[in-house]
Amino acid sequence: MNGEAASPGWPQVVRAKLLQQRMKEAKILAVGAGGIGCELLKTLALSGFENVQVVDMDTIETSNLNRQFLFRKRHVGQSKAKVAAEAVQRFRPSCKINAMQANIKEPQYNVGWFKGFDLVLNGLDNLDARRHVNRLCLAAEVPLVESGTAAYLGQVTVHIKGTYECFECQPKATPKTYPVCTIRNTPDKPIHCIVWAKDLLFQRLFGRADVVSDLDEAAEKAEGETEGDAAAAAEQEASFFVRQTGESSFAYADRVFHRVFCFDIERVISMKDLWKTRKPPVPLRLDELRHAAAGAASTNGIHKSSSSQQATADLSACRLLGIRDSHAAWSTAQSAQVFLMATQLFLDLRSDEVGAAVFDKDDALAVEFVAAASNLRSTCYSISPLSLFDIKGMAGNIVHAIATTNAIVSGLIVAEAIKLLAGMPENCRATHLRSSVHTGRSGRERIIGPSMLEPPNPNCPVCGTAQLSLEIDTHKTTFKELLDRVVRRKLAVAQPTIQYDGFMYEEGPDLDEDEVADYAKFLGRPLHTLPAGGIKDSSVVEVSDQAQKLELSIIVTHQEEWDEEKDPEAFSLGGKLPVASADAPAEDSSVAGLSSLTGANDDDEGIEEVFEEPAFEARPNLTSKRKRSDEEQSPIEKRLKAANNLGEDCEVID
Amino acid sequence: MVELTEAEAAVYDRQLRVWGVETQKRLNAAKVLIIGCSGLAAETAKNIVLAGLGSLSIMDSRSCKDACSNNFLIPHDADPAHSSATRCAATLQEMNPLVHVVGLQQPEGNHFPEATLGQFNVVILVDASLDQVQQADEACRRCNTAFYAAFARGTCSFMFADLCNHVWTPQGDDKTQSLTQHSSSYVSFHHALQHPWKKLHARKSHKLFPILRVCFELEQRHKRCLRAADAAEAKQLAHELIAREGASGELFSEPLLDEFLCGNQGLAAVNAVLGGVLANEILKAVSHRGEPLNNFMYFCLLDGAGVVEHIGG
Repeated sequence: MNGEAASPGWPQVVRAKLLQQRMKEAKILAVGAGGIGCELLKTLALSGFENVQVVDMDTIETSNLNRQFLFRKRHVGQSKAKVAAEAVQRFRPSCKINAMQANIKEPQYNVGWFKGFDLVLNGLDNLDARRHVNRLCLAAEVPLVESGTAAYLGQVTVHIKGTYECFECQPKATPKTYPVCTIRNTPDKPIHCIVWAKDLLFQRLFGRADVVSDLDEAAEKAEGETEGDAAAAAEQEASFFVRQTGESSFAYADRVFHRVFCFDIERVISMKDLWKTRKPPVPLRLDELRHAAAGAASTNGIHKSSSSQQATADLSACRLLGIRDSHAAWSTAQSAQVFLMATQLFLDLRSDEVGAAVFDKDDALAVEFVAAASNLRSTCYSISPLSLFDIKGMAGNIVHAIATTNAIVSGLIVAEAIKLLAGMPENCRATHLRSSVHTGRSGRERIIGPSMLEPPNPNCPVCGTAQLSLEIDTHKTTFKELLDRVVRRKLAVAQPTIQYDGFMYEEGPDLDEDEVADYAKFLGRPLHTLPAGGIKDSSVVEVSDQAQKLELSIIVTHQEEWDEEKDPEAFSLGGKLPVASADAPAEDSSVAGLSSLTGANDDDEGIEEVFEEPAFEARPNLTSKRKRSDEEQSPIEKRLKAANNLGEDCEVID
Repeated sequence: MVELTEAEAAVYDRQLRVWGVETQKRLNAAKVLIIGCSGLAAETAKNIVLAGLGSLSIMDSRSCKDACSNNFLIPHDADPAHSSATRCAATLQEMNPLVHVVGLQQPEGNHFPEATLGQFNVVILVDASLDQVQQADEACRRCNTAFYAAFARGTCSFMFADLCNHVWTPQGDDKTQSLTQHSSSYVSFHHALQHPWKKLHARKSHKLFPILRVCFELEQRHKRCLRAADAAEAKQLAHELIAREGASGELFSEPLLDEFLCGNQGLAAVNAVLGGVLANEILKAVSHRGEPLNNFMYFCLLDGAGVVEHIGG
């Protein structure tokens, strides 16, 4: 329907029978059934799309219900994709939605599978999955409509290989990381204490012990001990937090309290160098807080039988203690009470999870524990305590989300999808939804502003040909650290193959056990000791991912001096990068940042719960380089526009 | 004001992080009426019910069978004879049990009794005739109720706001909230529509505004809503009005008029966009938080832009 004189233009074409038929038949992949996803599935079905595949690994939470309107209270715990598909069929049974509860990064969703779709529409909330989908869409040559929302801001863009920018042509902020030393010894902001409580203490008490040891070791080394000492110290540290045989949960909570808020603080105070320019912390003594904490102390051991009706998810120390206002900061005594109670509840009523627990922002007890522990630590360091509500937001990296923005964005996505199916990619736009109304003196303002899409960035390492440069200490950094921190985390490579002259390392489901074991031997080795001369200054390393059809080359520079404050990651990745690690926006001050240091990979999260919350996404692009306004366009675009002009052609989107 | 319950805090967690507890409490006390049962009405109702209100009443006289096909609040197997308003209310009630949702029958004719409208903080008239908009707006002005009208036709849509004299404080959560009070005054729909075309900016002013005036006059002439077949007459009238007003011919867009007369309901994508913007405005109006738009907002797929324009002030 393109090019013939008689064929209708945009938007008259929406009434063309031929297009309506195409929309009916088109195979659409919707990634995500959360905030944007629910709205998108509804708008697609009402628009006449009938073949939709939706993939989402998540289950429904109570906090989704304020915007993911296809879900009801009774659905909490069920698959988002499946419940959403059924709900849409209730009002539009002609729309066939095939729902899969799965992570889009799983290997069965390969290039061949992506090729089976006419369009891919993203309603994702995490950068990692978006970059993965971007690469598969490039490889499969399927157009991608990307979207993101945060509070009142939203945006929709279109990515077509060879025609427009890919998702990674412009820098994306990645989560902020904090220096280990700040977290362990010299916190000065609430977030430092929250990261400590969540990634260190919670992990150590209830999570997998091996996850924390990495961080311990790094920290001990930072304090100038030898590697052997550090390992021994870490082991000793870890064994302290193991509950002893016959030890009551009360005694355990008490022992841990004394250790972390008194003994450890006193130990840190003794490191005099740290306090030359800073105010030293003050230890907390439980006996002084004891009278106020009497409520918790009297509950010596809580037994499953006494509250068998209470579901694990509802378990709450605050409720048992009668602390109701989640918006007020607790007193130190209250924090101590909550700390002791939460620890006991965890040991007594959730004992089967101890040793394997993972922090989850929707786990009330875990959030209470982290809030209490971080507020107690804040007290030691004279940092203002925060409310449970605020700590939950920061610990869970929760970005603000409302229904209206998702609804608007779903409409904008479907409009772009229709243009693509009509064979009118030249009419596609990047659209920003602005947050507020200020009509100002002209009495006129765009709150939804389309702008021309950019051609691909030739320097994009994903869809272009750029080389990256990496400065790193090739003597101290292990191969595993390179893989985890640089290749997986910074470059979002899912299954890396690493090659340089005379060496190859692979990952993936096709390897047999022997191969996996052989490759594993390289992981602990410092880079310069790898086979065939190792990775050292001036090495050129090829990184590829077969599933993503991605190939990158990295030029390595050996760099020994790293300022922990400025570069807590102790490496620097340069070139025209798809990542900008520097100043992440406030809502992206990711607490998850530390998990890479601790070796916990975010892989298991995949598509997270809150799809529409791409903290990194909506804001940076609003402030990044200015898109071409409709004035700076090609002659063809101008002609197109002249035909379609509604006026209002001169306000630049800023 | 009443403190939030534990259930409210759990469900509203994510939005409390956007607008704070104080705003939520104000929303929880608000009484809102939506007149109409189109797809656009459904979008708007869904958005504000999810946000939380004291009560939402939804008023329409049509049956489920006659309701718009893109109203997703009506299940496909709903009894065709049932009231569409009642059926929408039932779905909305399920969507958010914390809001009291009521389905109401619309009284006969174009008359909206002040006694009814005056019970609400905000009244929204969706996809009605322009004549009805004018009447409902006048009635709301008399009882000092905030009023919105919204329309979606095919690929075009617009909304109009008349909040009489509205007092508000800038948006923010409870911590960043500024307490500086501002006030905005609004003109009636009638007044806005009579705005002289000569005062419009020939190129920048949105081209849907003159079309509304043309449609309004034709509706008055024919005593019915317009359809695609009225396009020729509408075009003629548009040129007459341009001559009569001594305005620039650039103000009138024929393709846009065709688009506007084409559909009897908005495309789903257009409804989703306008319904989202309108819901944001309703929430601002009832919470008195955030600068509300004054007084027209247009969204058309032709250019994909959402434009706010102040007319007649």
